[in-house]
Amino acid sequence: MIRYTIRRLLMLIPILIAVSLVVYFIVDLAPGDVVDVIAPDDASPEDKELLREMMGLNDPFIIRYARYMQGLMRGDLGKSYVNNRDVFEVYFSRLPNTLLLALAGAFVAVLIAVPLGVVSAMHRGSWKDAISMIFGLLGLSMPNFWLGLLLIIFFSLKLGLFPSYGSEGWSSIVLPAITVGTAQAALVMRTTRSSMLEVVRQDYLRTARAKGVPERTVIYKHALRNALIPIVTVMGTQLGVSLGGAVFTETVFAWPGVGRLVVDAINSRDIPMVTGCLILTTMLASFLILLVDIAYAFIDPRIKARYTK
Amino acid sequence: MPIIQNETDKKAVIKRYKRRSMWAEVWRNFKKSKGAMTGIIILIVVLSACTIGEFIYDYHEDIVKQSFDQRLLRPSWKHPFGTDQYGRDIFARILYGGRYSFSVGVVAVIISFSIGTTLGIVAGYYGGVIENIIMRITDVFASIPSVLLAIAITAAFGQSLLVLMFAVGVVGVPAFCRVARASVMTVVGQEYVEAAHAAGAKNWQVLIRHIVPNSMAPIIVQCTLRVAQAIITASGLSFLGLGVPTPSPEWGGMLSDGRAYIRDYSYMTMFPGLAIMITVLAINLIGDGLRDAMDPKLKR
Repeated sequence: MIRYTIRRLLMLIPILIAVSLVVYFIVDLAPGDVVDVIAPDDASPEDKELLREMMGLNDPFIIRYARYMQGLMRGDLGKSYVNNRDVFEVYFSRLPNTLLLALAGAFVAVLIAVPLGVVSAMHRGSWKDAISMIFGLLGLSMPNFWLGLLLIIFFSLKLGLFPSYGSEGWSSIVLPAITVGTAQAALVMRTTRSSMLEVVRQDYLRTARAKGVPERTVIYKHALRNALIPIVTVMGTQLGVSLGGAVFTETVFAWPGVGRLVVDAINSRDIPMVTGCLILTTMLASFLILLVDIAYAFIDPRIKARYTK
Repeated sequence: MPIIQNETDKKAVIKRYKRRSMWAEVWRNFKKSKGAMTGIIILIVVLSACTIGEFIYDYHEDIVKQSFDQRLLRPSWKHPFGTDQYGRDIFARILYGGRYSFSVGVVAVIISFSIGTTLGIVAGYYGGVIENIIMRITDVFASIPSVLLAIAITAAFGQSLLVLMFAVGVVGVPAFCRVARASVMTVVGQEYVEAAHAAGAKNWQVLIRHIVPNSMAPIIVQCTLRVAQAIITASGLSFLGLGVPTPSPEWGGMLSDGRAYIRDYSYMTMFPGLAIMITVLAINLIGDGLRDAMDPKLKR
């Protein structure tokens, strides 16, 4: 098990290095000269050229990338062009907000989706099933930035129940969490349903019922537990996705997380900030997916047996 | 007594056992799905509305011209969806804006499909080193959260419809590559492929005649579902101000306009979002129907 984890971690290293190269390359293509932005208005062309030389902007791409990677190893991603703050520090000061939102969203998703998926599978073909499926389709088809705006219109402007933006107090996370959670809920619900349908055909459920185990226990203990693997997979990958997707929710609700940070950095052409945010978020998402893979082993002894072989 | 007694019986038997092509079979299953047919009808309605809009509205007169005496009018008979902050009719803009969503959705998927499927088929068929290289590159692109990758690409190449198509297309490549590879791998092991090789067919002949046609089903399903996804991503980028530049009436961009007036003129955010959702819903319904029709085993 430990060997498997270590091997997976080692496999991640070349991928993350390649990711940093790709991201650095793409962002490097962005037009605009930073020196024009940061130099004072009365700077002469010679001064600007000198500044460029000092910042190493005239070096070939490979040299600049190597320098960047050297910094990355030490946790130094450069400083923001806009406010000269350390990219690494700013990113990690914003990250807790995004993680909080992602977890709250996942919580909402599980709360809605798992019971709905179970009911849907247990009453397959009934009106309950139809309603759950329609909910699932609507959730998948609704852009979540629009859902966020709708929630603002109804719950904060019309009813005045929750604040429409910011991150002060517990009530301000409710609407963003529902926004993040709904799209995930749709996916999780569909997965729960199909996974449960797979499980309910198994003999051990018939055995449990024949033994006189109450139906509730049969469903939630015997069936759901065995249907959990695909559900955890979807939840895990969604957690990774919600790190990137947070861009929309955080924009709608002015939530001070890393998604908002990326959008602001793009709009102000803050190259080091954009590059740093993209690389760090990718790293984080990859680690999350790895964690999910390892988490399987705890849910399912069969998988653990395969890894330890 | 023979089972077939007269001509009518004979015809019925022939009709029943006539060989149906795969596509006829798929269509037969597809027609039976209520959801899929609903999706088709909605899509036809939306598409024809957008096409009609094309003819009755003039881009300069009705779509982008600002008339300040008409600004922020609530929905009425004259302006069914109201007017925006520049006095432009939202209904006309939504109909006209459909072209952006549909074209980005379709072109982006064509890009992801052609790159991703080719790579996936090659990886799945040849295996070995080639497969390893292709799949590792795919891993790299798949591990960057797709929205962020698309944002970075639009930031690098500037704002335009073409860049938007390209960005959303690139983001979809890894998914196609994986689906195509997995699908080809299940076909490669089949006996008819071995038979074709034994009969002396060349690699490319086997690929084109046997492997590609037989591994298409999951890829086609992927295409439909991806168009839906691409429309959402594209409108999201426009919402962030990174997609189709203003004043073009892209649905996501219109939502972003409406945001500033959300307190008093919430209809401005209602209708563009509704347009995105209905369109995406229709495509998702079709995709689900196709999946069930192509592989009855998958039907849950």
